[in-house]
Amino acid sequence: MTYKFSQFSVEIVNPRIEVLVIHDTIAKRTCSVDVLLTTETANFGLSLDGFTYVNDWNDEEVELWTLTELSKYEV
Amino acid sequence: MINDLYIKAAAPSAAAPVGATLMKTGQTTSYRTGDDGDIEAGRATSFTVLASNNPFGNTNRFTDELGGQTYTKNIVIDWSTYNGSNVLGYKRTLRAVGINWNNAIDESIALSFGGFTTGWRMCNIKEYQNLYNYGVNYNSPLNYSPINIQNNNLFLWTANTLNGQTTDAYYLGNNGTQSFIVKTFAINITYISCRTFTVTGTTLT
Repeated sequence: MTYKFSQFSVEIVNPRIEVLVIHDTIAKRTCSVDVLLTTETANFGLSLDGFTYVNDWNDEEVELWTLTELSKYEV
Repeated sequence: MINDLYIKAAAPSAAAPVGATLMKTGQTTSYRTGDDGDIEAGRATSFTVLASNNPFGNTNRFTDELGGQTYTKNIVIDWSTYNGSNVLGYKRTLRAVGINWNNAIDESIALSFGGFTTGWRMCNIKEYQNLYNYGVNYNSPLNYSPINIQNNNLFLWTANTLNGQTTDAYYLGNNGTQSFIVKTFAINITYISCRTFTVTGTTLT
């Protein structure tokens, strides 16, 4: 899988994807996610916004949402 | 040509180095092209690996005073500061919090630790920043091996006084921040000691 983000001039090829931190804004019932993409030569950090929930969330839901969001940046 | 003298021309020699490139910050994750995680500006292979051997024949930036990794005496030698004669070493254990600046200075210069009975002092602000690893969590930039100091809930005095406000001294706070406070402050604050070691072969004195 190859990703391209506007903040990086390079394409990120076959990274290991790790959700580092989930920031929960309880008042708005939204979360943002700090993600680390690791390749053999470099590490890339990015933040994804826009996860929403009704009552609660669990890690699996957030990880699935993260992968869905990342797929928008596939090339 | 028997009586002619010739003087061989010599190219002008380059000036001797009078400095060194700054060390890397430790950040290895990039958040955009052109940031420090991308460029990793600075000297050495990485934050903890030197580009060439220290006097003990390895590329470890940090060793104990015997060149190993056991740190039995809790002294950490930073070979990135080695100038061929001297090197900076840190006492990685903290005294209890709750000491004002003057008492901390007095205590630090009277310190006898790890068999080294003189020469200790409180770190100045650059000697602290030299240890800060910006690749670890911002809450505790000294919490990496072999320093292993968790400073996320305490302050660290520096040996530096504010120019123009000499009642205050600089300290390093949690989150790696730097600020200043009145020297009589003594709550939740401590300091790190360091010492310049003379290097003779593989013997540090």
